[in-house]
Amino acid sequence: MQIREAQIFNFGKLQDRSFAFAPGINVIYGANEAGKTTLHDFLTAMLFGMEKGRGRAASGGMYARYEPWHAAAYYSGALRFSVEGRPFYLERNFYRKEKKEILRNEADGEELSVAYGDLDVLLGGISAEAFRSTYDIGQSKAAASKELAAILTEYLSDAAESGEAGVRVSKAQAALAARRKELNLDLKNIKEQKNQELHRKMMEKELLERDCRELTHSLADAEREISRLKKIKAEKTDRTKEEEAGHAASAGGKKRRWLAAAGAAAAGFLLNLGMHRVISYAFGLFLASEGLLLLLTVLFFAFFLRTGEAAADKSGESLRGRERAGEAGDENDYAREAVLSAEHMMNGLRDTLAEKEARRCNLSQQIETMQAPGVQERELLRDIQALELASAEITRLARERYEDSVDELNGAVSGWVAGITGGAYDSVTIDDGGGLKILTEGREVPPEALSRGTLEQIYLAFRLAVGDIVTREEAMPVFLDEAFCMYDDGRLRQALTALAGEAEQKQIFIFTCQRREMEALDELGLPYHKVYLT
Amino acid sequence: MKFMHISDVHLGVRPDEGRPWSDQRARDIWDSFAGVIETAKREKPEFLFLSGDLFHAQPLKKQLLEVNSLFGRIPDTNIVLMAGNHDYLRPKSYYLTMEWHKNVYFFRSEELSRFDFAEQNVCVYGMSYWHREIAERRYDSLIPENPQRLNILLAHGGDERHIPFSPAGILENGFDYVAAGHIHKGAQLIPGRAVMAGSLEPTDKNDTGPHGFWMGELKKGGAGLRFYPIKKCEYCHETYPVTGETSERDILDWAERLLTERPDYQYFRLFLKGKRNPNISYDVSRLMQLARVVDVTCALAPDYDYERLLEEHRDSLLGSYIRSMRNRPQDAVTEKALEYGVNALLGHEICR
Repeated sequence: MQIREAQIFNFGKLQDRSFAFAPGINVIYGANEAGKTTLHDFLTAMLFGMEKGRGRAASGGMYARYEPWHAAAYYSGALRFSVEGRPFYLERNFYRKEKKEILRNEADGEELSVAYGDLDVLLGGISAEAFRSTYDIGQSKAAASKELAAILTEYLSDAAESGEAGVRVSKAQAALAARRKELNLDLKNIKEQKNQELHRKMMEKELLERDCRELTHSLADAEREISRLKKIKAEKTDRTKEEEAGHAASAGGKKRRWLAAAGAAAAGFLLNLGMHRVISYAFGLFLASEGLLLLLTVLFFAFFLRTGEAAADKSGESLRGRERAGEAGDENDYAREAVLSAEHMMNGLRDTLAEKEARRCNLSQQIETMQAPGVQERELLRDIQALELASAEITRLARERYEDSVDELNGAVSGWVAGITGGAYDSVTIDDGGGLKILTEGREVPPEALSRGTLEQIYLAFRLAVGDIVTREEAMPVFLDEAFCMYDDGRLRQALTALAGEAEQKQIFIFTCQRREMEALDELGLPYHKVYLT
Repeated sequence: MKFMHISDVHLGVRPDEGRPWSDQRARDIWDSFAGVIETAKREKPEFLFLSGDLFHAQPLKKQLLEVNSLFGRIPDTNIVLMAGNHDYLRPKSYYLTMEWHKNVYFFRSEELSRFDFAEQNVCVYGMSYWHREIAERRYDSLIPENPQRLNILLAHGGDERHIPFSPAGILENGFDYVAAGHIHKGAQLIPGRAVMAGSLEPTDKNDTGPHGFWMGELKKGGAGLRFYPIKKCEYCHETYPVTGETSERDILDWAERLLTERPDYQYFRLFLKGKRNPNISYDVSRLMQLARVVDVTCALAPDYDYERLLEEHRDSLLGSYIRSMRNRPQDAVTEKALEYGVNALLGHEICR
């Protein structure tokens, strides 16, 4: 990028001023208060905007500093620059309430959009922060190593080497993480839905299991009752024969006994009712098994009483003996039928039990099938795994590339340091924390032991080296604002010589209130463009 | 000897759970089974073979009574059946206490046994599953006792966890016919001699192709038989070849055309395959709302030319990433990871 002209309509103390710049080195010279820093800030504000959190604009309330006292809405300027030989015109109004940008290709008149990132593309994708930490060099801004290290990590790992814009590691990682979060949520929803269904089935299965247990008990009870009944019947038959000549019982006593029997049966029924927690027990099933027990209870008492009655009756008048024999026959039929109907009911219960067993078994299988992850779940899991793998691999590769780049960078920094210090310091390396290790004649020198001037020179070298890497996409201008105050004449010449070597690729802006830079350049015979600020 | 052969009816199954026609499918399967009995009533075959999985799960008494009553409608046909891996026998299974009509012959044991029909000179060998899986090759070494009879093996299995068998070996052992079940896709394993009946109706969306029953005339040395399809439901897997230019509307039009052009007993699983524009993902919910669309699967890779990307980004992280992913052992996860990583590094939307 080459900045050709700055037109300041209204920006701080500068109004309706126009400055032309040349390729190579530009020295902007002016006395104190002449507006050098204003011009410098104008240039960065034009390139990167002047919003909160962006570049120099963010630091130190630049907006307020240069806001026009009168006509606040007229806070603007324009820039002419070229990128890869194509001329562009950029105009901005910084006024907060009427922010406006015009970006135009002056060769073909094509209107571009700053808002949609066209300017970012022209700047090679470099961020305001990255620019501020590298090529935008002010006085005593040496101690930027931590920031530089961070920018380096981000930028180098971003695979900027081949120069394609838009390939950004952190953005990629964020996108992968966001997608992973979405998929995890989907997975969670599916699982929850399935768990609900699973829970329902498990409840159903539990109820069935309980029913089966209850039924098994009921059946066992009923079987015991029936066998008791059969035994009593057998005994009764024996006793009937023995007690043919027993005593008669009164009719009233007979009735009372029947009532007692019915009462006892009802009591038994109610007792059972209490024993089985009716609420949780399928009601129909309950009635079926209770019905059977009730029937059995009644039968038991009936037999018991009838046996007694029969015995008593038999003891009565011998005249009625024959009638009684006939009745006993009826009783036996009745008993047989009762046992049969009880057994019939029991078979019904057994069927119910088997039915429930089958359903329980089918439910178990359904539950088993459901517990294995379904197609959807498996696909989600696979995709989440893939996202994790992608993310891990990108992190690993980025780290690897960063380490490779650091080696390369160490070479570049060392080159700049050697150039600026005239070979006094020949090797500078960057450690993991972004700190500098400075070597001279094979010995490591702690940064604290260096003079302020030397330290500034080394950091300048560091910034330029990082800047070279960061701006590979598009060579950006270097701004040096009173950057050489602490340099002695010798180092100044060396620094200027080193910079001049790069001036063919990038424009260099030296803002100064002294003549020494120009004098040095003249002495060295290095070409430059003068801009006087008055 | 005239016979019919059906298998894997899976009574009680509810295919396509969650789709609007699921209940209808469950009823259709019962109806188709009743339809087979009707056909038998008309055609009067001497035998009806059911080679397992008559039920999808443990049969309930009501279901067995229903089946038995249907069997009672064809008293002149001997029905020979077995329990398969789905309706395998358990000690309390109704299969065991069922009082079958006297034309029904049910293999109760997991040991191979036989029913001998002297009158028809037929002997049917078989067994029932008492387990969900049987991995031994039970059928291969069975030799029929009386070579004079038409010896038939009622078999269920054919995959590695369910009695694998070699139809040719069984026939060599002296069987005249193998009436097999378990694999839902029907086929004559050995023409006229060994038939995998296939399921009477498709019971799962992956049971593609025609389904139905077999009927034929068996003589010593083989059967002349025919397949009779039942056209209540046929699952079809249809693929739309997606390219970078495909729009959502293209896919919708294709699906709608498919539904109008094809017979209405066909149900579709739709697959979108191919390369998509990396910035496009298709919303398939519209397709799912169409009648007779069972589901939609997107197997779309973004339209990346990885060779070109590698060339263009040779020295960048993207290039390293593609190379590194390709050097890994290839599986579904790696394949997806390659796609996602490239998506992310190029700033494209990460579509599934």
